[in-house]
Amino acid sequence: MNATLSSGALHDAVSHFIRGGGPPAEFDSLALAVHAHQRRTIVAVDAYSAASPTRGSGFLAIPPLPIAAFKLTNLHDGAHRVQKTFESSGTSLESKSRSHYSDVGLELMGAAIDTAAERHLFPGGRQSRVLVLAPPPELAPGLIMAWGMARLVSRYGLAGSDFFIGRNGLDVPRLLRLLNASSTYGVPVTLIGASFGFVHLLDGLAEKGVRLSCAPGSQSLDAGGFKGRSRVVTRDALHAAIHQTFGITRSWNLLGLTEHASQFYDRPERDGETSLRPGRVKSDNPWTRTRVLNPATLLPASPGESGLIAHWDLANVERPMAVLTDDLGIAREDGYEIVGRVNDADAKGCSISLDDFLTRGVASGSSRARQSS
Amino acid sequence: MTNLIDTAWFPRWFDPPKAPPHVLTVTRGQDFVNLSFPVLGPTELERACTGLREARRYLAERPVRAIAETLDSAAAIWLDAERPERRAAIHAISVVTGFSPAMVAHAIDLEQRSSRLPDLLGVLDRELGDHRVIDHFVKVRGRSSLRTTVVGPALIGGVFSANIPALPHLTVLRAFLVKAACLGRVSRGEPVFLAAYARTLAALDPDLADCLFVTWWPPEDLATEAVFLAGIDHLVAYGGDAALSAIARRAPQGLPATWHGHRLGFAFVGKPALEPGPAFDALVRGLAYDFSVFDQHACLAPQALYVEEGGTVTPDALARALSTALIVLAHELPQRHAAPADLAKRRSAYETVRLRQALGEPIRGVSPDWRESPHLEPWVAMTPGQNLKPTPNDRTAWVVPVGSLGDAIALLPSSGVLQCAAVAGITDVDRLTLARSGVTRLCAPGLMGLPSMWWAHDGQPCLSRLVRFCDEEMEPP
Repeated sequence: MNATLSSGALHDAVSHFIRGGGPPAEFDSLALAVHAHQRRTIVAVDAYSAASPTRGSGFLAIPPLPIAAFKLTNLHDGAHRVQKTFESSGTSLESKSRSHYSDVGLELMGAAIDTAAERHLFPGGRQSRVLVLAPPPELAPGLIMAWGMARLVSRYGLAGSDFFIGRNGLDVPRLLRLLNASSTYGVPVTLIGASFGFVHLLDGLAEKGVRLSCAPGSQSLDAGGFKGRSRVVTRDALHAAIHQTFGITRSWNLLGLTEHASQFYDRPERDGETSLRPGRVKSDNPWTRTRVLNPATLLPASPGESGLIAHWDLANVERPMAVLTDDLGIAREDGYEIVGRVNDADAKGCSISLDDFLTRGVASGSSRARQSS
Repeated sequence: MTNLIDTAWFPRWFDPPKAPPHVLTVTRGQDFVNLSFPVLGPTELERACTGLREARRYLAERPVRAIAETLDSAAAIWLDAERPERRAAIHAISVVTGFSPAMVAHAIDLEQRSSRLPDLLGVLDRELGDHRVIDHFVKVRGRSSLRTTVVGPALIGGVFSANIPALPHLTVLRAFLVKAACLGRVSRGEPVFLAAYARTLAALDPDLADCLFVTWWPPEDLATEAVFLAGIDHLVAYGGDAALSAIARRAPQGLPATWHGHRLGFAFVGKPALEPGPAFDALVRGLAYDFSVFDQHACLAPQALYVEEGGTVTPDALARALSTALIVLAHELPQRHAAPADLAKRRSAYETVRLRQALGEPIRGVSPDWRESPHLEPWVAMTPGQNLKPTPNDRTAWVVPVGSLGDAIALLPSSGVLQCAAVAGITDVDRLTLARSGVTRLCAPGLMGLPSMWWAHDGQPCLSRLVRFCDEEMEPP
């Protein structure tokens, strides 16, 4: 791979790699080419890389940029005009993470979303009635999750697919009508949304004693966790409640970050002839590499060890592709689990109690993404 | 099972629960302890609340001085380095919390040194005018026709955190000083000390220990928590803001409460104190101690050091001296065991500082580079213009050069999280300015982690807020 490819050529090469696959070895050369491009075009990537020791070969030779960079400075490569900016949560401008996308960047993100969805939710491009517990992009233009879910609705949604959070909150009656229709007419649904949105809905339905039986083949996908929320629900408890209330047995969790164009699903496992079910660990897409890094050395942790999660994401051609997140994970043989996060706001003088850490470790499960909160 | 530590204390009148305790093994390197956690439900908690109210009669009839004398004797026992219960507690707390044994011993010493008789009676005198007022009617100084007495609540509930070893006994002291029984829920992160302390009290005065109940229930056991919250008259709670606000939402409306949540401290050194010499050397040692004690996990700990520019010693030179002093002090008070989450927090902040430096910000590390040490070495960084906010702790000092005290105050948060400030080289007017800016405790460097029993914790009286007064007026105004 030519290390001085233009932005357009890199987008084409990565798009081809995402859509068509390619030998794993090609990942390294593409990653190094993208990184070389970013060192030329993004000041922070070049400055941080120059100041960092080399800690590995292949993609591991690319130092992952601390995620705080997205709050500190403009990280767009400037090759194409920015069309859209997504922002993470944050109470002040200083604490908002910002990710800029050009048209070609959005196209690449769309390719990543489609390919990942077909590898997990919609094998073979199978369609479903996609019901979204999140606001549509026009109501939440800065929310990357809304953009991604709109993409799923438009690509894989049968008639009746829609968003159910509007200006007046969650439209439960309309949602229930569609869910009831699903069970009556045997139309599988894919219920997707923010984890906390699910909790709100499930609480409300439990109070009314509502129990549904969605059509076979129905599934759910929750994204995001419970950061800053008053209530934390474990992944298992959430998925058990989804099963109990909707009769859905296949519940996926998705890790998405405002800083990455790619998303990270539970590792898919074969479930019968044509279906997949979520496994217990998160896994990579062919165009991403995730490593739990030992915080003492920033080298990949061995299975069973915990540390900071870093992603190398080819779909981030125009934004830093290697990012050191503030998520805490445990390395597993076949993937990784997310167990919590490092957060300055949590590091409070008097308030650090090991109890908190223990509780957080148990409660956070693997469901979180900044984009949802 | 060997080495089993009982984290509960049940009074003699309480029939222990039928359910066997839950035993949790905690390992630290090659070392381990087995913790025995009680399994209590709402029914048992209800019995505990009822029994404590009954047991409290003993307190009502006992002179406060006699109560304080017993507490003083307990402090003397815990200050005796040879006592087996102290050695066992130091070992267990160190294994469970990760604090070094030296730091745990230091914490016990600090807490118990301020729990002696003169301080116990002294704080009552400060807050109530006269400690005897808790025993009977006493004439109010300055008005001979006015007598008063105070009545404490029957039952104080404590919810404790784990950030400072041996701290929870403070709530027991305060409860007993106002003749209230105490029901404490320990933290899973440090469940050892309070039950051990209760056993000391029982050896000294079994009737007094009958007024104390120490237990634990899982955070998700809201039914037991509800009985606890409904059964107490005043809640004293330590913890993170999220945990405290969750309890506040679940507490019965109108339950009086004292919240000890997130607080921030800092140090400020003005130009007059920046002259080389023995006083400056002592100042640096004091600052190093403030950033090190309890590994900076106490609300009292400084998060930043603001240094006035223009002194003979520059902010950079002070930062370098502090870095050296922190490393020296770590030999005497070794750091906590570094858990991966602690290292990750430090690494995240460390790499962000490196990034900001690479981007040309006037920020830089002062301590030796961190490449691959698995220990939480002390870390000093120059961070000009830094607002006061939490560091990753574990002896992290962000040194901020400022033009004046006013410039430092401009970097402080405006909300009520400010607490303690170590100050040197400033005037009394400056001190008043800091008080009016939200600081609730001023001290010299080296004293931040050493508040006395007399301290108005978080700017509030600790005992008078627990009691009600009953006045007797014998003359018209």
